Amino acid sequence: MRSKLKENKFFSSHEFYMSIALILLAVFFGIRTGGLFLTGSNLLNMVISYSYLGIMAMGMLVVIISGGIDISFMVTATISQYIMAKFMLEFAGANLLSAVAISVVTGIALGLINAVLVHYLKAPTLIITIATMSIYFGLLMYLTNGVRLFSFPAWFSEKNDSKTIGIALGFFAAAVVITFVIMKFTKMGRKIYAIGGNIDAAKRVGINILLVHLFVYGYVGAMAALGGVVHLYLVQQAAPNALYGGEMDVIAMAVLGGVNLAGGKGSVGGTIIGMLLVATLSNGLLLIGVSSYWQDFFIGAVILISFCFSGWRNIKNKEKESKGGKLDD
Amino acid sequence: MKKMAEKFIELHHVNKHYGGVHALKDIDFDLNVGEVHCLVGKNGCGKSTMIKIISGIIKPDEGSEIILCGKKMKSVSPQISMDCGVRVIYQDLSLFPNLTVAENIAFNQHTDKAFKGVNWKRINETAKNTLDMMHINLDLSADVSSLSIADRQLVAIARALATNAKLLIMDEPTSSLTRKEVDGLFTIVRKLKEQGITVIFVSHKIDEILEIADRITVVRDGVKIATYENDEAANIDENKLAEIISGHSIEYKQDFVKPEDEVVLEVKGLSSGRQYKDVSFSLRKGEVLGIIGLLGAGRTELALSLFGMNKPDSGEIWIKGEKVDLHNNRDAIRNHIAYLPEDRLLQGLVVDQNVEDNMSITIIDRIKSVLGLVDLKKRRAITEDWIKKLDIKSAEPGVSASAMSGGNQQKIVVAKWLATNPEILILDQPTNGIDVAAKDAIYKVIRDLAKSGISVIIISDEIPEIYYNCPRAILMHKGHVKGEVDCSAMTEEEFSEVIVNAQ
Repeated sequence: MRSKLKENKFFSSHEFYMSIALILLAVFFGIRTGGLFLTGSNLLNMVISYSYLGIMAMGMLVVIISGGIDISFMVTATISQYIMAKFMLEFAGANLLSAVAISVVTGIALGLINAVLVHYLKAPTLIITIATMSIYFGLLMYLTNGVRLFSFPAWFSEKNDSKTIGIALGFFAAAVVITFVIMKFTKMGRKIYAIGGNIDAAKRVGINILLVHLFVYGYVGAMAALGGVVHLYLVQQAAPNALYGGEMDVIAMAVLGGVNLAGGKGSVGGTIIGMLLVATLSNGLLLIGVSSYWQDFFIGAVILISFCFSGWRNIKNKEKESKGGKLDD
Repeated sequence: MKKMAEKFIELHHVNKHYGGVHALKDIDFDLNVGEVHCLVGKNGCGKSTMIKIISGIIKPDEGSEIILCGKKMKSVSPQISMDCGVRVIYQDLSLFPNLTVAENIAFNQHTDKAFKGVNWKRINETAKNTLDMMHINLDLSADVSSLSIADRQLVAIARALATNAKLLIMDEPTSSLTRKEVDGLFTIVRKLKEQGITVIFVSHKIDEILEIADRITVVRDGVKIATYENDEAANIDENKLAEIISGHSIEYKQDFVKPEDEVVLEVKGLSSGRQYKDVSFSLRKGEVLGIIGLLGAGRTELALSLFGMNKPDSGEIWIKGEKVDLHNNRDAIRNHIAYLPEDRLLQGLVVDQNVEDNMSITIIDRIKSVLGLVDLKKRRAITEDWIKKLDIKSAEPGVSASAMSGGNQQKIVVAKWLATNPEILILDQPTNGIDVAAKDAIYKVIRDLAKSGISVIIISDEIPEIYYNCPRAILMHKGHVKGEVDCSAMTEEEFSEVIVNAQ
């Protein structure tokens, strides 16, 4: 009886319906591209191209579960990426480990600033992070003068297939595993869910809200920086405005993956499905020759439809609970 | 000579000032280990302050003495309170709706340093053991958000027990529970007693207090009036207790208004899914009709159908001799029907807004000036008029609704609807969570309304409320009408029995 209930929970879950949608989309594009979409090399390339956004989506997942949101993460990624680029260009002894470390530390630092503002200003996190996004971006453009950095040392610029897979998918896999373990098996992770579900109750049971905020926003910063590292490797140049505007894709991944914007609900698995949905949609549309301007349109449409669908299911469930069936005599 | 009971906590000469307000005046209070002690009093009498002092959330004034865990102290810190096993279950339960029953029950394993990491097996075991100890069965993997209020309360209690609670303080635990669920809760409370756990019950409901309490402490205006033993010898009864709580005598007698002959509402064979079936009755002008039934009887769903917010599957509604189709509540309002919801805080009032805004919201279209803007003078005049008419004490148009007492809040909601000139007023649990004196005031308002020709339907699960106000009552149970009762023709005990037999 218990297992039946568990089964039920999955099959009526958002993740399940999104998986179906993903499969349908994949089949659709497979057919329309004469099988091209579904080839191993295309799928691999697709996942590699979107891996850096997927990494960032892991951070986004955590912050949304905590009941907040962070719009500044793309700029954080850019700054971290830029500093890492500078570091690689100017320090002879730089290697991958130290470069990544510098990037992630920068990301965490910027994230901690957000955390402090969020905790002490008590304003909506959306407003605060829009503000920091603008501030960070302004500073970045001013300090860099818009100059692009490229021509990185050989150990970074020399690309081959296995190295690319290793970096893109390796870091993505690491981000996925770390996020999963934290959210499911650490006290901090469970406290993040608690705060997202009922912050007043969380305060009452003695959870240190400041610490959780510091962790959450620091984590977003770290994931943003990590995504920035992979992006830098893939495109081999650090342009201050390259990542700008990609925020919506990342949020779309989390939202399609079933995260509840009010907080308290969301899963790593769901976010992966969300990432694959966004990637499939963009890649598929590209392959069938649809102008890239339409991509935003379709992603938006898919989000709208998925919300309408889950909203409709919610209403139906509530109705069934209160009214369903007939009263017997 | 009674054996001296071991004391869990003692309060001596406890005072508390909030600014200039003397909230607690020289309180002397003690709690026996293993007893069920009810703390009773009007809203604002000081019982919440006492609880906060006991749980360590606030500190009493200088000169106060508290003896807890055998130690004398000037004030209790939250840590000491926790260590001594004091657990408070607030009215909102403070649960995490997005987490499972198991995780909520064992949540302290996430915050207590003594527990390393997140061990799901350990969490589930703890939750299961606690529920077994309470002899109740809940789905450990269900999200708390999917649970009924009664089950959530059990989870809140389980959570307290899982952390070795020695004193459980429950704040108004029965407000949203059906009679059956209240019985379930009381069974648990008795089991806790057997295990030596002490319970403080803060409640308004006199009949429940008399049922479960070993001792009752009445607080009024910051002063402890008395502590009573609730046993055969003491012979405390409802009326006496009500008097002591409110400070003046409340006369309970049937005071019926004679209705006119004209039928204003007729309901024929109304059914709605699983909520109610085949409901028929009629309502005359100036009549006060009662609909009594426990939670789950379908009363609120029926009322919402009469208010256009719950379209029935079949049946007819006739108003003043004409069949009407109510598609939404605007239709109902146009037909001069008004509905006061059970949850006045969530559905009746905009708590953050002031009295004036709340009262005028239903008639905002009617107080427009020529330019389409709200006529402020007119609105103020109407508000002050209603404050006077309904005798809403200490209410001023500009004061926030959240600052009013429960009774006054309810009066504001009533005023808001009276402003629409209703002919049929449906009141759903009109005195829920309102103290005894304010209840009386609301009943007076209802009688005056009936005298002025408004037909009133009172929906309630409180037997005295229906018995003393409604000459006629419809009994509902699990969606069916079980009968119509002439209250004037029987005693309250007989009425009670009829209700019980209908279940």
